[in-house]
Amino acid sequence: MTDFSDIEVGDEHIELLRRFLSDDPNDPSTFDVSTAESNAIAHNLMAYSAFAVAVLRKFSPNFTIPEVIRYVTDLRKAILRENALQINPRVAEGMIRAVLEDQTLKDREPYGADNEAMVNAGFAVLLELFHGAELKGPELDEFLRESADYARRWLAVQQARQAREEASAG
Amino acid sequence: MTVTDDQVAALRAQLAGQGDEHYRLFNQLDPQAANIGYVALVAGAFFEAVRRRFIKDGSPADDAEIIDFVTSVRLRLEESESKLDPNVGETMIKIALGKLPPEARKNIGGDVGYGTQILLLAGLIADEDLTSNELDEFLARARYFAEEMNS
Repeated sequence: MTDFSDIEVGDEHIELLRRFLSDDPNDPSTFDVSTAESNAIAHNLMAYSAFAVAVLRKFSPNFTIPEVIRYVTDLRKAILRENALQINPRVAEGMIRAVLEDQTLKDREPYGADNEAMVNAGFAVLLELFHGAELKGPELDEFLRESADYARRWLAVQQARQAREEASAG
Repeated sequence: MTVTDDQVAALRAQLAGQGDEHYRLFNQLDPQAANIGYVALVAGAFFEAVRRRFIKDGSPADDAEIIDFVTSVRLRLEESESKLDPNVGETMIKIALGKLPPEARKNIGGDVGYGTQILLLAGLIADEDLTSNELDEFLARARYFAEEMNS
């Protein structure tokens, strides 16, 4: 079980995400960061939060499951044309529907796959939605702020849950 | 292994969109024989229908076409779209086309594989819009494949 108690999302995590989204993702210096576990967790959380914010901007408040299915289909076909690493459709759809709090979603993480498939799908969707929105300057700043806020809210929920579990176990 | 006439009739009714007739005929089938013969017939029909749809000039369709088709079947299922796992659907089609080896379905349970074949087969036949005679010819070939594959 991951220990979230000392995890914080700070400016360095926001800056790394900015560089990842704005710069060449194949440039290794984009990922020249500390390998401390708490930092890695915070970086991953920022990336997931950016994915979630991008999905919410695209699909909410009103979405249909066919829209999600068609979106993932079109994304996979675009990825095929680019000869890039394919994404798992069940994983991508499940992750998107989970962010949208689809009450009809019966599937659960990791959606018949594994963590690697979830990371691949999350990054593919994030990059497609982000580049499609062509965010720059203040709009990019706003997107990063929303992502950081989402990450901090998510973290607060996990930390509160962890504190309750430790209190009832103790 | 022999596919029986009543097994063919039951599948024919389903593929012709005669749901009630299909259930009536299916429920009259001998369960033990159907577990082998009907399942083999569905597999043979699926194999034949996939190759008709996705092989042109001797070459299998590209993955984008397969993705599109499986998506189209899922969308037709509407609220029941979760009955068709896209990974399973695409894998079953690719195996029938020889794009994946048979071992690719080792993690797909028997019931899931069979259910997927039925759903995709219904979609493939619906898209072909066969006449009554054409459906009979199709099922004759499917029956032949089923008996050959299991002989």
